[in-house]
Amino acid sequence: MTHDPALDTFVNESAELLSSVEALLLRCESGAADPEIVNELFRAFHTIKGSAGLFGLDPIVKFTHVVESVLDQTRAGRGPISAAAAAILLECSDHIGSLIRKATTGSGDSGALQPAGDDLLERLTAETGFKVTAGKSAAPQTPGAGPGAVVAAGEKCWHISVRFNEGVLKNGMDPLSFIRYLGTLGSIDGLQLVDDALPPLEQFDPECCYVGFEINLKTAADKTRIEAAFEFVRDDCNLTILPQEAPMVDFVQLIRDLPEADGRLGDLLIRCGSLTEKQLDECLALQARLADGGGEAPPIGQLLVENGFVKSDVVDAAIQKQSDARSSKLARAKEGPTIRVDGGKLDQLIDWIGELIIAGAATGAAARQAGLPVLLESAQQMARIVGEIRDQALKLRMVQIGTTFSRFRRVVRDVSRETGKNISLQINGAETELDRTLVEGITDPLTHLVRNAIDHGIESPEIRRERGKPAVGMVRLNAYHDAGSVVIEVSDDGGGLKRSRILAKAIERGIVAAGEPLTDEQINAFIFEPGFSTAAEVTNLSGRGVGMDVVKRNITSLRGTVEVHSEEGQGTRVCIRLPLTLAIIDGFQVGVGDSQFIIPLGLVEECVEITPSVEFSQAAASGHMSLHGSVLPLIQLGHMFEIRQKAVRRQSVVVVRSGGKRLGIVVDELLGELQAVIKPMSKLFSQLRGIGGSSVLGSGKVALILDVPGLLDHSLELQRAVGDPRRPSVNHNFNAA
Amino acid sequence: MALQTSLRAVPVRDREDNDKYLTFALGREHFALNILCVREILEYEAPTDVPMMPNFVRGIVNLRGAVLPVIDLAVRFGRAASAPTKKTCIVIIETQANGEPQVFGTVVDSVSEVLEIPAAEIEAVPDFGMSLRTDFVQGVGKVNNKFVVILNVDAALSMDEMTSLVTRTAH
Amino acid sequence: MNCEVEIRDGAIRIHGEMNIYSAAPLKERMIEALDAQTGDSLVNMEDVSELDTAGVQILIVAQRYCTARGASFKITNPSAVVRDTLELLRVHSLPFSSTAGDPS
Repeated sequence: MTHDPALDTFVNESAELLSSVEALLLRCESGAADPEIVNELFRAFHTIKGSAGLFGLDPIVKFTHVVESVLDQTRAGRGPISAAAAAILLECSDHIGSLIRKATTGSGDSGALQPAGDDLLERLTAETGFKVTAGKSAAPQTPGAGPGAVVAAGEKCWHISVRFNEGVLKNGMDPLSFIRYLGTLGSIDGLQLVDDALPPLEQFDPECCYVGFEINLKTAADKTRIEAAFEFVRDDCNLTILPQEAPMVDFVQLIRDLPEADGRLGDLLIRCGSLTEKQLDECLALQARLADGGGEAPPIGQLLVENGFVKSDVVDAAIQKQSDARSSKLARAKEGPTIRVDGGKLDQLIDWIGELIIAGAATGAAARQAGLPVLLESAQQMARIVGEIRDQALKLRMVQIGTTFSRFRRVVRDVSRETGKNISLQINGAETELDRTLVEGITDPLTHLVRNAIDHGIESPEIRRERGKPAVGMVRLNAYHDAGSVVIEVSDDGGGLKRSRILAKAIERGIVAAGEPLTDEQINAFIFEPGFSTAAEVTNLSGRGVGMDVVKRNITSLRGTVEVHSEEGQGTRVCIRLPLTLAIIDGFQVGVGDSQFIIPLGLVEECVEITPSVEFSQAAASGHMSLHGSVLPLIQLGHMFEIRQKAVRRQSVVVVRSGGKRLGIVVDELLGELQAVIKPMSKLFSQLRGIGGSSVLGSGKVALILDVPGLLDHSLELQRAVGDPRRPSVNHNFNAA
Repeated sequence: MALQTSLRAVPVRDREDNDKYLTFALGREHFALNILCVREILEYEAPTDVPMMPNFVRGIVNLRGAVLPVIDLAVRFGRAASAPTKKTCIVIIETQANGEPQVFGTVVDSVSEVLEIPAAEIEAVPDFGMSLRTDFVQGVGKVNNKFVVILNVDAALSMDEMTSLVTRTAH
Repeated sequence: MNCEVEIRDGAIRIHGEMNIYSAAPLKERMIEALDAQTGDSLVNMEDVSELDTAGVQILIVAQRYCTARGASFKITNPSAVVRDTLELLRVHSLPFSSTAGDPS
């Protein structure tokens, strides 16, 4: 099946509609009785049916028609949708999704789904008590059977569009004779000569052909015979033959393919009887939707009115129809006018802004070197403005996590039914924004965590009763911003992690030695080891032990971190931390030896200059120092990265904060702030700890960006190492772990 | 701004280039690479060091906005690294790993000419006598009565293998 | 090849074949004839023995030429061949106009 952008629009639109349908039906299941819900559901199915009809997707039309009718009768009766009916409707909505997938990916015949569909419809009509008469099926608009056409048995109407090439006359062919021949195959019910390409008399070359035809032919001949009529001139013309039952989208395609203005073509098609005005409306609607969906079709409606071919209220009506379909999209957050933007174009824009920042940095450096104050000020002003543009552009990439969270309502509902537990899902912080590239990556890990919470976390109703817990188990999704990161939490009020079991398993697998002192968090963290599962039985959903390590790996690949907090008997909270943006950050540059590194500015709390002294050397060696009266863990970047350090008079400690913990990073030089454009690094470096990416500086050189959470992890490990007398003496070599 | 200067941008290939090979030197040894995998040849510029990497990873370099890893081929092949000279170049190579193209910079001591070696003149890798891992070698070509070792870049610069070496070092 | 254009009694008269073979010279003569007339043009086609696509094109551009000048272009006394062709093209009214294919 060749790629058809019009079909993509249909698929995307339907996916959105089905998604909102799902949300509404879930509310109905929980008892919502607002009549407006029934209206919205009706409109959604009605739109899907109509669009499917435009593409001639009959199985979808037939199925959706029944669903739509049931909803129509429901809203007429003003009754609510019962929970049982809502459940069946959910299945119907899923079925429509399957039908669309089958039809649009060419993956086999949707006939296989027919029995399931019929069964669903039976149950639906039985449950709601509404009958649907089979005869009222909304057949797709059939063009070609024009106004007043009387079609004899065996005869069909065809629309023929032909544009002759300039050289056809010189090649000895006369277009008119082909038209006359067509007339012998049947009767030409409509004909329009298309002479738009004729130049004015002065420039007109009398031996060239500038004309074409739009013809409505009624004939018993089949397409091959009609084509054969043009056999001798086949190479000298553009020919399209459409049968009367061709789906509307084929006519839209014809209009788009032909060189004349769309409005003119619409008129031609009506005048030769191949389309009625109503059918042209459908074309307009589809055309307008395609334009919105990023296709390059010019709006027909505008052209039509401009050329005076169609009364403007007809056009208005058509456009109104398609905008109605849009507004019934049912997005709950109404934020004013929005537009669709191609994700790839946005990424390109961000890339270019990155280049602009690098070039701007080079300009600034050159200005400084030139020592011209006017130039320097100008360069600084530019840098400020570029910074603003950067912030605005990055905001465009932010999407609310609420959309992702809402998907979990369905997951929770399904899993609850499967496990027989009663679960309620609470969502907080749905409006928290994160970079759109993160949204895709985070869905799988979140799904696994939610399933885990329900499957293993929440106890069965009996056990909950014994423990004096409310019968309904609670799963909570929470999201908020914290110092340059997005934090996402999945928590439950279930049984919590059994630490003793985890520790036992860890010892059994040799991950840790018995008797080693560990914090609760460290024990909890063992669940991220590969193949680790303490679930007593492996259920269908999770517990196969392949889950949590993949979750951690997914999150790490997004440059995030994950932590588990748990109270046995009370519940578990998994806390995921992701960087706010992956593209451009404000950075603080530091020097260690001959190398330079960048620390995300948002994490920097303060910088402290240190005079070399015996005390400091000892402090650094022990891995911590005292600052403002509290203990600050220290990392010597030079040691950790095995960089030969300069002999400097003063070193500095950059104090950073992440996830509520603080760390001091010992460096040789402080080099100032900069905007760092983050460039992806080769897969080769994907497991590198302590480094979070690379950035191209204004000088063209590359600097490495520090991964502060990773450094924090490392320093915690070091502390562990320091505390254990059995460990080899501490060298801050990263290799000791 | 120090821009990497391209000594030779390798032009668009047609099928006839299948038989062309770029020859280069690592120390005193000479090797050849099929020209189809050579994207560009750059003047040498010291790459930015990346810590905790095995010795064959020299660092990373900026090529028109893309950050590429730079591999020291001599070290990768188990020889000693040599100090950069005026003739040292960075050859940008594209390999195939699991159906995905991977781009690397590689440090070589000097590049020589592009030779045409028809398939008939290429013999299979001998089972012994090679000072290089046999899976890194695609074949041995005969040119003007001399033998030239033709590298199998997909194996020599295998992303999977190098990544596992990196991981072992970093932990 | 055989096509003559003359002006008789204030109207343009076309004799002979209006087809691909006569199209080039016919165009020139049409321009001359139209330029020689001030005001509306009448074209008598009684003696036209052939009319193919090339001929039809000339008629269309000629008509537009006149319209641009603010003058009208009317065909009179169409021969059988001319009438057939115009019917095929669904031209039901003269003044001849290809964009008014249906009776207005």
